[in-house]
Amino acid sequence: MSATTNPDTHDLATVISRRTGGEHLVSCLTCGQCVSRCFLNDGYPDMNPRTLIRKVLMGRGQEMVDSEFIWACTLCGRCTTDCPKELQMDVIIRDLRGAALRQGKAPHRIVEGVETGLKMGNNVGMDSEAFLDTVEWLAEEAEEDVEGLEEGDLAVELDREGADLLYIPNPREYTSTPEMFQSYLKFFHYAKADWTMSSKVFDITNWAYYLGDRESASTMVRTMVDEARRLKVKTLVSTECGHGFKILRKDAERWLGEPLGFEVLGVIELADKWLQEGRLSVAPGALDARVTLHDPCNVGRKLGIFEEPRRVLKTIAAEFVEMWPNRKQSICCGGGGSVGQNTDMAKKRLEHARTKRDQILRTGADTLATCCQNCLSQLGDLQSRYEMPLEVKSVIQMLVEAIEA
Amino acid sequence: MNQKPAVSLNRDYMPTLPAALVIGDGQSGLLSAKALTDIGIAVTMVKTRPDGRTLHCSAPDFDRQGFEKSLRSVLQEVELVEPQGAVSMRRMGDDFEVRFGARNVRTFGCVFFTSGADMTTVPSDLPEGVAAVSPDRVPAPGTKVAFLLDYISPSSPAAGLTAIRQAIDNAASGGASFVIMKHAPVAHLFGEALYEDAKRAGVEFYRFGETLPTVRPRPTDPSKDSGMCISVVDVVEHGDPVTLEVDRLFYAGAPDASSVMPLAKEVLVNDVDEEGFLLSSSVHCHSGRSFANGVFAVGECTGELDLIRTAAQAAAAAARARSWMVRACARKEAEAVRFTDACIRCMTCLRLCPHNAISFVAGAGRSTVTASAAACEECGVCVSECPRLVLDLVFFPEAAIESFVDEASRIHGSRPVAVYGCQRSPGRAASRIGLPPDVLFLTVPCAGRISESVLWATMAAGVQGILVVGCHHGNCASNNGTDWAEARVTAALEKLGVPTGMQPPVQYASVAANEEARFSRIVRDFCRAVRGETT
Amino acid sequence: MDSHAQPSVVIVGGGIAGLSVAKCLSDNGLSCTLIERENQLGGHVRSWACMATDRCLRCFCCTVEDLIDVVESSERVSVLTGCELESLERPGTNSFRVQVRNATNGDRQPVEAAAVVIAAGFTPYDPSEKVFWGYGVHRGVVTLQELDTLVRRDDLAGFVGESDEPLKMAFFQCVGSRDRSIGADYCSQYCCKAALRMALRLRKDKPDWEITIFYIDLQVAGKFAGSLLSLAEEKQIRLIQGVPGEIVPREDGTLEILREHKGVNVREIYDKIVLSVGQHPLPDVSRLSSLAGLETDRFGFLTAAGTQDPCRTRVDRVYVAGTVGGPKDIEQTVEHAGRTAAAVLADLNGSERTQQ
Ligand code: SF4
Ligand code: SF4
Ligand code: SF4
Ligand code: SF4
Ligand code: SF4
Ligand code: SF4
Repeated sequence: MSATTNPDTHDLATVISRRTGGEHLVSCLTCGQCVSRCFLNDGYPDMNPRTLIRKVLMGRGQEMVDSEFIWACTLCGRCTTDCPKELQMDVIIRDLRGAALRQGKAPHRIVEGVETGLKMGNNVGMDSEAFLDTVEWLAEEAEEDVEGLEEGDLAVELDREGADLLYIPNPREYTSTPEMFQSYLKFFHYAKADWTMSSKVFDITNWAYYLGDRESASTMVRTMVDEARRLKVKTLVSTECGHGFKILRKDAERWLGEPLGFEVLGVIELADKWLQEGRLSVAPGALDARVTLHDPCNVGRKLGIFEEPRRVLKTIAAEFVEMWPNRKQSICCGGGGSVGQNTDMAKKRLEHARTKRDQILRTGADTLATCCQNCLSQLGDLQSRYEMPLEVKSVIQMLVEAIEA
Repeated sequence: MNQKPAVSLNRDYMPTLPAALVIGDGQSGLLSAKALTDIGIAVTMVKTRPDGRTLHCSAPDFDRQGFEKSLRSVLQEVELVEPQGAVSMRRMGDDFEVRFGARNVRTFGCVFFTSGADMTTVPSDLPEGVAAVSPDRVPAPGTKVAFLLDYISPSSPAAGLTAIRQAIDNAASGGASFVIMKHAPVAHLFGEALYEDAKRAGVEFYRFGETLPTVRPRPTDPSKDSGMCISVVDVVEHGDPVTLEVDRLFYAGAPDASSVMPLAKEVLVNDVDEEGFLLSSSVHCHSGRSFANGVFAVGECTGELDLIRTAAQAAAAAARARSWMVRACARKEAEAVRFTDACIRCMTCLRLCPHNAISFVAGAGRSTVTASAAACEECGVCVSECPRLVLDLVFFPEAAIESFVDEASRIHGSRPVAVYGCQRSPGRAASRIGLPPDVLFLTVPCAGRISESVLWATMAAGVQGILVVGCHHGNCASNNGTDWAEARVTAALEKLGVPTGMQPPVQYASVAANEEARFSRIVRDFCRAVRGETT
Repeated sequence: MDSHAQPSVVIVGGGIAGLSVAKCLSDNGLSCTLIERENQLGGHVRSWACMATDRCLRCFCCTVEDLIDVVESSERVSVLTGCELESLERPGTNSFRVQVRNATNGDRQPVEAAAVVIAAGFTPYDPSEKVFWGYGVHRGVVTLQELDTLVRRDDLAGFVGESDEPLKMAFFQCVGSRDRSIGADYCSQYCCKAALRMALRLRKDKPDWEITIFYIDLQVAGKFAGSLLSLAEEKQIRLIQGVPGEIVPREDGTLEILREHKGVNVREIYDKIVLSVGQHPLPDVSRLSSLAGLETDRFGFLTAAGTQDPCRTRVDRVYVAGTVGGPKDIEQTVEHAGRTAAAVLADLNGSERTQQ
């Protein structure tokens, strides 16, 4: 950009333009397509992605740095899907948030989460011992609950070097939704997987990424990568977590500037693979449910994992119905990109998600499945807020139910 | 004179072709001369007036100096004439008789008007000191400049692209560039890339909407400064107007039709478009071709400023000119329109012929009026408008219409509907779809052949109705044949005095050559209407 | 060359470009062989409609009919329909041996040529991959080409129904053009004018419809284009900057879009939406280009010698004409074809000159 009108705020555009994914910022055609695709367009009637980009380009980025919009944005990337100039909104927003963070304007809850994460290795502030206890206790409880499971079946040997798989969970699993955590334990057990977990690194999330704090985000990634290397595993398996999985799969090598030396897989990919290989035995249509799938923005749009969860659901459920639109065009659940964790957004995130609600209701499904903890949390809240007549479940959770059915 | 023999690709067919006259020695003229000499046609070029005008080209691989040099080299191959006094010209048989002043009279096989046009002046509500965008007027390097496009009326796209190119160059030289526009001009294969390059080079674009930007001189000493302040509201950014202060403002305009050479407008009197540029907006006038067979127009005088398009126009026109001259040679002995001795030399036909086919030959004993069989397109306009009924088309004589009318009167008991349609559009449609037996269809060369007297004769034959169908206005291959047809239907109806609300027994309609579906509906509806049937 | 031998020019493609070249060359006394893959001459233009209102709007579609007549009745043009170019050899510097294959019966036919003109045309963009616009999914969304075909058949009712209720129709510009994400980062150059004409044509037949054109930048280059724009303004065609990025179907079959209006996001409902699709390279352009020893540009169009010589190619005596070398409207195509014909004439003329 020419430095003629306002050199300091033009810098924002320069910073973004240097980013991978931000390089096309200046090419915006003002075609207007992104205006229609953002689900925030009712919530913020005088703001939209195109206007935001124009402001950033014209040296008025500070207005956006000061705005609520950048924190309401879920980094879903839907607006710039099919953007004729290949701009990437999530990259742009993260840099605006980075500027807000430096100016002390970032939401406290997220900032604190990052601080905890950096200090403790997880954003809930749990230490290794507590984690070990929780895992043990949850395994035992599940073993008791399920017929056919013997004592010790679900026990995991943590920090086992040379295991095939290192599974990293999302703290939500072992805090607010323990039954979810148990599903993963059972999943690995039924598949007879050679797997382990780390007693030090047991949080796949990366809130620093949400804040546009690249340095901390890299540190968090580095921690996970080092742990996988230390344990000499072949594969790092991400839980059903959108952004955590996406960062490890798509950004980690670039951020660290070196090859990871191991593979990154999503648990959802493993489920599909094992089901296809016959490693998991389940009766087709075992679950008497009319199920629909919400494509998480990170897993779907950004990583292109569309068919895996569908194949699983079509196998295990009596009926599968699509939402419209879906896959690359899926509408965000409304809780991504820190919005779900940001207490300032608690009320608005449910209001902003009304399009999602209507889309779900139109399917007439009795079960809403998805494969991202963040989506699960938001969709669960939506369900109760709007009293939607359906259950919200994770794909793996359903798969385990089907195996046990 | 530097005339070389024309080389023919088909010597068995035509040994030599006459020379071409190119009026204008600017870039469009040189492009035309080059295109003509390249295909073996000798060229005489008339200097019009000194003009440093250059066409616009923003292509990334364009080497202006190299291009100009190669263009000037064509001067070696042409005869250059500097006329003493006014130039005038007229059709003489297949050729054109051109007078350069009183004494110098020459004959050419075809004529190219390439006399250029000025750019519109900067609108008067812009302050003094605003310059026009021109390929030759490059902003001083390292300055702050703005380019204003689409101000009040749309800019010529070629000028708009030049503005973007210059904005990039200026930014690259360390300056700052702004483009203020309504529409980014990108209609070239490289257009989008140029726009993108500009954005990457740091050129700032502002798109205004209904509110025009305002411009005032920069509040410094106006005597030593042409700096401007421009206030503009970007339609995407909104908010208060942004004020840009620049050292220089360039206005991208459009060519000015009023500067087109008067001689050209005289010769091509039926071939001027709604803005006043040469070549009418009929689809039959493109690639430099006019309705006047053998007369071409290239470049700015047709409203075109783009070098690539002008070069295409020139080359295509040259190929067309050559085929016109080939045809003229082949049809030397042919006859298209027959004149009888009853001609009173009123010149109606000469004036009305859309193709400039008729010439007046002053003779020692008796002067004559003749039509060039090469230039004539057999529209029959002259035949229908001659006050003395002197003329007839050779290939579609009056007798053809007479026998059609006879046929109609023979079966008048079945109350047929007569449809006259030109061969180009309704004729083609009729041959594709077929018509009901109670519709009598006669294909005429052009709807312009249907004179009022034909209408009266047909009515007298006892038909239920007459439908005259031509091409759409502006689409007639003989420019205004279809307009004539409509005018005659209107005149006949006025004389008939059909009360309002009644279905007139005579009707005019127009279709295109690809509208068989519409044609069939028109005929059907007309038949129903004149027969009083309801749908 | 024997002084009585007629040089023959092989033209690949019987659309408006190929026909124009054939007409121009044959009018100049050259023999041509026109190879067309379809069983009919005319190409895309054959399915497009006349846009005349109370006057011709200079769309150029009907001119293809004139060209077909001229070419089919010309003694100097031999027309091979249902045929494809199979191979191209060059036994001498100035001669080609072209194998033409009949697609139906497989018959092969050699043709001797002094020059080869490639005028194979383009493919209209298929917008199905742009799921947000729901082409092929929502019934009210069609391409401009499809609408043209309906108008040509005089069958608009087949699309909009017989009801007299005024309709709201919108045009979306630049669909499949100016779009790097699909490798089509260029302006297709015809679609703005085509949409303006269609809007005017509909306005004439349906004066009470609300017709909107959503555009990025209107391209009104060329004769009469400025008049199209001012006519559109005069006839109250809504011209709106910014193309909605998503079409949401509603229960009643209407279509909802969202756009920005004076800084505020607003929703609007339309009955029908027309996608003005761009011109893309032919799917088998690479086969053609390798047969002829040519290259394609980064978009997939055949590369010409340069922007200043857009009809010759890097291979002597092989030429391009029309949209196979890049997007064009019909008028530009005809003009470009005329320039190609002139280049052929000039080169053949030049070689005769040197021989003498
Ligand atoms: S879709 Fe892309 S190019 Fe179009 S306005 Fe939005 S960011 Fe700009
Ligand atoms: S919420 Fe999604 S669609 Fe809206 S601006 Fe953010 S990334 Fe784009
Ligand atoms: S209009 Fe008739 S009378 Fe008059 S000059 Fe022509 S031919 Fe002669
Ligand atoms: S028939 Fe038409 S073209 Fe021929 S001389 Fe008469 S008016 Fe001219
Ligand atoms: S609008 Fe098009 S098809 Fe109709 S008459 Fe004019 S050029 Fe021909
Ligand atoms: S002509 Fe218009 S609609 Fe077509 S690509 Fe160019 S700008 Fe877009």
